[in-house]
Amino acid sequence: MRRIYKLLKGYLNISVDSREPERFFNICSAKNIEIWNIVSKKNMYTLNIALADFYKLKNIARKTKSKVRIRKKKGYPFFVYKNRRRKAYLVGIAAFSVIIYILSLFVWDIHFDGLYTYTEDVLLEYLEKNNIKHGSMKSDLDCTQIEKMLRNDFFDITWVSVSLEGTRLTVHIRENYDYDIVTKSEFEMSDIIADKEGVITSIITRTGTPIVKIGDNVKANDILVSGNVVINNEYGELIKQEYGNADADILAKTVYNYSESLEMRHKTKEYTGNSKKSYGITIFNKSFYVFSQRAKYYTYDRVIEKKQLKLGENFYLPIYFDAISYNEYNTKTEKYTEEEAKNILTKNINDFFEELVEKGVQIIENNVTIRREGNNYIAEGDIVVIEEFGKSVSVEDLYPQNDTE
Amino acid sequence: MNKRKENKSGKLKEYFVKAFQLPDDCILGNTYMIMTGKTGIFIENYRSIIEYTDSSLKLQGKNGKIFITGKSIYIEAYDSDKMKVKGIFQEIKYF
Repeated sequence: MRRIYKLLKGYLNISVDSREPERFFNICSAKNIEIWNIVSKKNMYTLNIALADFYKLKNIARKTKSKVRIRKKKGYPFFVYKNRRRKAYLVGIAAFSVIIYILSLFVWDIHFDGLYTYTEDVLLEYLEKNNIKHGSMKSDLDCTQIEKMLRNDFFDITWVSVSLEGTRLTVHIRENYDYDIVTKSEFEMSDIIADKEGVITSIITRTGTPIVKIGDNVKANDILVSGNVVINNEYGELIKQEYGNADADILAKTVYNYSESLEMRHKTKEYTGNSKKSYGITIFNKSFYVFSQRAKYYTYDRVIEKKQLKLGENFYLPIYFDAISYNEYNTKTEKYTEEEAKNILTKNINDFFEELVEKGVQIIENNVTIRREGNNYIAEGDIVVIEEFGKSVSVEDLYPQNDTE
Repeated sequence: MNKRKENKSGKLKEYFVKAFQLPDDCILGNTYMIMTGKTGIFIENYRSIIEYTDSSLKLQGKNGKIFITGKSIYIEAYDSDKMKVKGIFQEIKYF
């Protein structure tokens, strides 16, 4: 720190040739002239002195009959003096500080903190829609406004704090992890109808009047639960009629048809192991390849790996580094054996089952069989399942003519 | 006469410093030296430089003279009562 201060003020390295050097030093200290790094060499003394104090040496030098000679000049004042004619240099320094200042007016990094279910991409996209992106003016941003927006548009963000530090916009978020989704029906009056054919196995009605019973065969678009609630008195006379939203949990036995065929002859890729690589840069949509060599292979795969350049954490620049590799292969025609074909087909069937189970469907019967037919292997059959049934439909959509009454 | 009086007051001062457990370097004017190995000495409470070459340094303290000898001695910084000396020291003498 002290050294920087000295450099800023400027100091001289001088040599003193004196008959009474000690007297010279003592006078200096008595007059509060700071001297440092005194080295003696054969009756000559070299020492450092601040530029401002140097002019005071004149009297002391005369008094002690010593010769003072400047050896080196160091520090800012001399630097300025030396470079006083270099206009470009000065302009450069000025331009540098101006650019730094201008750059500091923009947001260059957006950082998210405390994300749990939302991803950064979702929020970045949302912010970009609202004109908050990398490169926005800092003065255009209103942190409280952003907080309000986020709170309003994302219902499960319970707490949000947006702060601007330097050129970095930090968004702290607390999400609500355990909430009940209360789905409100979008209709005023609705019925539940069948979305396909099936046999009802269970029906629990919350609101509305059930029209089908357990064991009923229903076709697509049959009404299962009506939103119409009729209240009769004990004589069977109508007291009250209300049309609301039908709401029920319905399970039904339905049939899925499964069929898949597999050709015995098939082509396989056999990689020869020959490959070539080339590299390039993509700026915006223009690509420049460094080693632009076309692969001389007859058949090949072209694999491009793109790496996007980014500034900081989330600021992606439109510059990509590409690495392209050409891998040669030969095509070969092969025949499946029966066992191979069966394995492939059963694997596909099991994948299909897994998909169904993931949807919450219970599989109760599986009649899929595999057989050979000419050059194909065919897996075909019905799958009987129990699944959630029915969909809500607005009454106005069901009976459009009622509206005109 | 004068000298005797001074001596007496000096004794009194010493007694005073001892009784009140005061630091004797600032009141009695003893030089205060901190040595770091044989390469650095920090001196406080000196009065002036008597002689300085690259192999020796003579200082006037308030209560006597100090003589330091060594090799390539240089004064890193000094002001009217403090001094920082660097070099390779061999001897320190009081006289």
